[in-house]
Amino acid sequence: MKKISPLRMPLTFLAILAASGALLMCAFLPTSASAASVQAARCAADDLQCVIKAGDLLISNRLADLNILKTRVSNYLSEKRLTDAQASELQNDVSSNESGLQSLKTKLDAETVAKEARKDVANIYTQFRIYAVVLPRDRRHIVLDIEVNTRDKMVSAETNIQNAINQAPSDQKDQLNTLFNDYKQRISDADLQFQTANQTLPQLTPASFNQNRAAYEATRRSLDLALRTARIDLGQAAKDLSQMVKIIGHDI
Amino acid sequence: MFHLNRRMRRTGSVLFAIALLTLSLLLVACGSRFQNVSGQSSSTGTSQQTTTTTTTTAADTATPQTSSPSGNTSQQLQDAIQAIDNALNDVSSADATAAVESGADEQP
Repeated sequence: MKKISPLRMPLTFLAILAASGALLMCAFLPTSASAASVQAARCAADDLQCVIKAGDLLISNRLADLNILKTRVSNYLSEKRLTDAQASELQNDVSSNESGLQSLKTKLDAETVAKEARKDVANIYTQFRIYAVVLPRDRRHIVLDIEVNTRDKMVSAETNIQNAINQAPSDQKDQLNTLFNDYKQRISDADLQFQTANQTLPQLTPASFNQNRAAYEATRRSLDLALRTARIDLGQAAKDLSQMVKIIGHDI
Repeated sequence: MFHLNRRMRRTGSVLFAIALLTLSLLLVACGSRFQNVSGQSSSTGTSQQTTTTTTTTAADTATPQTSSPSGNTSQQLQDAIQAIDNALNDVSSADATAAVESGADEQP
């Protein structure tokens, strides 16, 4: 068989080179990036400036994400998904954590001994738990608030629904009453979930995370189940109303 | 016969080249994605915590895709349910980022 010179197939040759390059890139890029991170992350035991710089980065990352949460709360407020009081409570929590981190940064930046600076860095985790506790908890708080507001809106519609059923033709009333009863039952079921959520949410704190991680996770799972079950209940109630509107033929 | 073989060989070479180029493009794409994922999750490593820049998900910065409460009651409630779903998605994003502090609290 005749040998094929690479020069006679430049396109193929280039393609092989490109593929090889891509393979090498795939194989080495993440490793080199990780290696760079490790090198930058590790400080010598007495390298004060390195520890301060690393701590400042940890803090600035957390401040940036707290700010994103604050913006999100403002968006929900402007869309009237959250009430003023609900938004204020969340914003206050964010502000409290922000000022705490700012104070810690001031302390860290003023340290003169690496050992003390390392203690400050440890406090970024143990005192604040922005990523492990604060942001996930506050996001759940937003869910709970929106669910409660949705429940309130559903309850406030009950009188109008009842009036509409009263005025509906008699051949529609049975079906409408069945839907309305389910609507009310779903709201009642959601209320039970809110009780669980209101009990568990305040238990999600940095202290409880540090103290007993397993218990913390169990509490978080319980809260998640309550929030998701309430979502299902409210969703079904909304469907009930939608069906009632279709049967009645006009908005309620 | 020789010309036919040569033509077939050329055609085969071109097809082979196209296939390889496509593969290389896919691999490059794979490489850049892997790099992104690495950047996101490197914080979970025990020795990379201090250099982690947590990535902000699109869900974080995007305005929730729900209309403001308006229209009839039924529609308002449907929108509210959608808002709950969006908020639940944000919880998932926050949980994914929580991995930053779910391991040992590594010192720099």
